[in-house]
Amino acid sequence: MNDKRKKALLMLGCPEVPVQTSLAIYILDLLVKSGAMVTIAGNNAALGLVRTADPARHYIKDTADLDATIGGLAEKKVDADICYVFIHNDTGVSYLATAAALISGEAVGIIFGNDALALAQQCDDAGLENIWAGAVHNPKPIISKVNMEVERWAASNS
Amino acid sequence: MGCIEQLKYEILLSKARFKECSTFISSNYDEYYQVQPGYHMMNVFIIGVPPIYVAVDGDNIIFPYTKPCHGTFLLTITSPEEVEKIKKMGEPVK
Repeated sequence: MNDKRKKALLMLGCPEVPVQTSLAIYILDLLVKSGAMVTIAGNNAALGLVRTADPARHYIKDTADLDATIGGLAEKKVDADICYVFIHNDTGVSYLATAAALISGEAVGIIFGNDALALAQQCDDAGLENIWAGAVHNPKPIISKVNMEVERWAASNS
Repeated sequence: MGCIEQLKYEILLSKARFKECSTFISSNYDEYYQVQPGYHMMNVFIIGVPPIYVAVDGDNIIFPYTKPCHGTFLLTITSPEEVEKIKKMGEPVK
């Protein structure tokens, strides 16, 4: 039987900004509650942090290597209805642009960290959807925007 | 750098912003091509913000290579095969 649930992909960046891991699990929870199947892609360090934060796998059901995921998207072996790309540096913008070009669904940047405003401008200039807040250690500044964004996506797919 | 590490490469720009790599290529090479995100070469998939430029200099191919924790590197590798491929697959810019 085919699984009709929407597919969501969370693409993590380098985990040097503290809010990333908790934001990832927070968004994962929102997406699962909306009925989506969620895969978290990242490098070893980023995935190690989210796995450690959810040792009993209450939230995390599927993880994937970031490079392999990009390859899968490029070769059309992987796809998603929504891809949230976590951004706190220039590299993250490159991943968002790549995801936006390769997936059949939407790609949205979740921008945080000290350079959030400049990175959001960079995304805007490139026509890339994003939400942003200058959250570094405390995720609170971006949580309400995340809530609204996931609600928006879930409503557009209900 | 994954499979790239197995190859003999030279780093032209290190831990750069992606746009710096594009500007470096457009300013320093007489022959370069535009590719789409996800273009496959040297066993890696090129990521970046379009337009993504890949330059050719004789048998050398010059391309941006991005890693999450380290930024973007502009690399040059000698590869007649990849030079031939980009000439067929890429969109000539200059």
